Amino acid sequence: MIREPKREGGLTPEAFRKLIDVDYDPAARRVLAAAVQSTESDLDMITERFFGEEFAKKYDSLTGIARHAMLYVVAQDGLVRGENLRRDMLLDGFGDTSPTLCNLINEGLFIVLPNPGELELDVPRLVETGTVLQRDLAIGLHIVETFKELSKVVLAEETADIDGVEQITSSSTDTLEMNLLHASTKLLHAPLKLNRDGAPHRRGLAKLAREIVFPSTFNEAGPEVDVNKIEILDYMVFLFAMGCQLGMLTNDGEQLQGAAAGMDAYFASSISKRNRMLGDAFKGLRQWNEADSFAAEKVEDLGSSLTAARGETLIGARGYVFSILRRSRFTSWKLEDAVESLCALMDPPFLQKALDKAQTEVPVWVGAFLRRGLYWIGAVERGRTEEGPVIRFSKRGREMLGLNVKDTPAPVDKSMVIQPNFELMIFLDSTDVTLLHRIYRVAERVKLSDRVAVFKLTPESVQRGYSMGENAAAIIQFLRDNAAVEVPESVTFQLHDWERIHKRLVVHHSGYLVRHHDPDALDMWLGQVKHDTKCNVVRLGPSTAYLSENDEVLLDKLLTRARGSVINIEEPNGVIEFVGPLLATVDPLQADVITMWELSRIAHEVEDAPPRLRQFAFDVALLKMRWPQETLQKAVAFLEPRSKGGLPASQRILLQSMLEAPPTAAIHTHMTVIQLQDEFTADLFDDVEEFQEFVAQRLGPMAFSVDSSKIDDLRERMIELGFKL
Amino acid sequence: MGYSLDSSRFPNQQESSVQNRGPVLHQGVSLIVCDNAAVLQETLVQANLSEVEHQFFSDRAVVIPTGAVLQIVAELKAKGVYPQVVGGPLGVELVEDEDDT
Repeated sequence: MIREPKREGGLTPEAFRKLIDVDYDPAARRVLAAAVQSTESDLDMITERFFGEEFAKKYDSLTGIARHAMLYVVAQDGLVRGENLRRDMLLDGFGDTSPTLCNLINEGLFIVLPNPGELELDVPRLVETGTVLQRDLAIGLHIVETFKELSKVVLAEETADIDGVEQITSSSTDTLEMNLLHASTKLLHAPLKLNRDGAPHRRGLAKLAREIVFPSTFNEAGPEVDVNKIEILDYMVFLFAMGCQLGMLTNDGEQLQGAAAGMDAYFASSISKRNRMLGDAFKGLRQWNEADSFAAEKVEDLGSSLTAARGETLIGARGYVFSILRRSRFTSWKLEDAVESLCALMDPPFLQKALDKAQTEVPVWVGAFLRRGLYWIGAVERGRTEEGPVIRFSKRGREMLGLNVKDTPAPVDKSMVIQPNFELMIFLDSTDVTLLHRIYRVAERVKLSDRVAVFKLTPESVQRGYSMGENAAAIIQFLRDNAAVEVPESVTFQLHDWERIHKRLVVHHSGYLVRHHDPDALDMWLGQVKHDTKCNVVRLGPSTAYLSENDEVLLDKLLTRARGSVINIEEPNGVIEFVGPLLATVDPLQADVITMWELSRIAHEVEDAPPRLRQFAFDVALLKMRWPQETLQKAVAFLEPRSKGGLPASQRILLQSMLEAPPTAAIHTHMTVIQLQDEFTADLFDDVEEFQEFVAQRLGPMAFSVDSSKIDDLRERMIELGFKL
Repeated sequence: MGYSLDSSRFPNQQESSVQNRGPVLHQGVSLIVCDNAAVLQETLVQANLSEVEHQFFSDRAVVIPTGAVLQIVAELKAKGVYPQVVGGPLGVELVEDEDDT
């Protein structure tokens, strides 16, 4: 693709002549000809007059916004993008200058240049359709030279930094991160319950809120905090929504819980990456709606559900305004009204369309976005002047927009003081949140005021850290690396001691219980396992060990070589063998944990069991105690898959007779059975009325029982009917 | 969980109780082990172990189904006890071998 050379500066007569000759269509030429009072077809005359003294007077006679617009273009060496000119003038408080700029174009004072590849430029139509500002605008070089000095003086006054700003900011990204870290750590260990509507449970919320630093304050809120106050509840919901969006909190609809992986991912990142993550999280915020937040007058108006996606409809609008602000690149204080105008007026139809689903108006939402959303994430700083409230992007805010993306180095000052009473004083202004995150893993924050956080190493907090992978040596090294003073001896001693206590109880999550009848053979086999695999062996007794960690492939080989067997706890085997009425033997080495545990609850162990086996006598009282409801069914469900060959029928009957009503039976003597040749004949036999007095019971499809004393009479009648007996 | 031996490849108990004298591996179980019997007892009371299938192998070791581990650890943590968890989703690498007993 051939790229056109980058345009530079204002128009020379040659460039102007070529432009109107090659790029302009007749309608555009007609407008210019009229402006300079020339004939449309005489391009030389148009050019001559455009660069003539008479026409230059028109620039000099401009006043108000039009004059400022001209001076803006002069300041840019006579060439500026239409939208950029409009944006800069919006930001400098001139309001929407589109009509003025279009007038300047129609009067031939601003020359519209075609976009790359654009031919036959129809300027009047572009003005009519409102797309003319999406092109470069230029003025003649002679005008640039004439007004250069004036533009410097005037624009220096107009766009100078606003003086006398009284900064009122106290909401910073550092504070937000501190709050996120504190809330997610607390919720990691004690989740916050949600009400049915998804709103946080107020009691748990109040407990957490007292340790949060709210916007416009510098210290943690303290016990007096009232979560029924609109600004408190709203900020807490915002904080939780940000935490969820950043992946450091999870919300299952019933409770809000910290997520260690998400916390690690965020807090271990560089400041620049965190800034980008914060910006993205804010743009995509679902459970919080800045328009509702800003407009709510009482707590009932405020949605506090963390399950409703109230902010989802604003995602498009947030992204759009982020892009406007990124392109504006303003760094100094600006009047809030001007920044609002910039956001609202750059492309009103698009923004309104983006906000339609949110059922909010552009001015309302833009105000909420700037004064509530961006302020709370610390992207902007706010101040006031005699002219009104002002706003500017903070350093981290600029990085959130994607500007100034150079990595900010972490503070190098040692910001921690460790005291012999296990308290850690952290000076927040010279501390990075990554360091705080590490401290939170092993210590409890007990106080935060005047930008000093006090943490305490407690037995619980340190052991909790150990359970998350920390160890005493690593913590001590961390403290030495970051403390401004020597780590007290008492602290190092205690950290080691707590580690000793922590290691007293070990849970091996995944592994195999190994059992063997022959302790010597087990020794040999475990020796091979230790030698060949990465399995960790915990010996539990002469014939039992536990293999922690796994190396399935090698273990499989070793087991095959040793002709071993595998028992899966979820697939019960036939380990129970009945040897008498409700009396069973079990090979304990083959029995799984669940089987042995249940047997201990429903049977008494019999002492004189055969060698290597254990014997159990089932007890009806224990069975009923174990399964008070549906005892028989549950006992059968347990025994059936665990009994060798399934639960024997005799044991099943015995269980039924002991646990429920005994099965009944009747013994009939002096009966004779008559069997017919087929079912059809038997049915006919059954229907013969005179046989009814002989038949005691039909026994099946083809057989009947008959009282033996009447058999002779029946035989006679049957012969009469032709039966062959 | 990430571990599983194919039990179908090995003889089951019914087939092997007499002939097979090799090791028997029970899979799907976790181990809680403590260096002090009294501490283990106290710990297990705190973890409501009576509600969970379990089997003691000494006064310092108890085996439970792996499916119950997370609940047990959560209950312990809620009571302020933070055991060292080896392996699994909560686990860390074991830094040293347990002594054989």
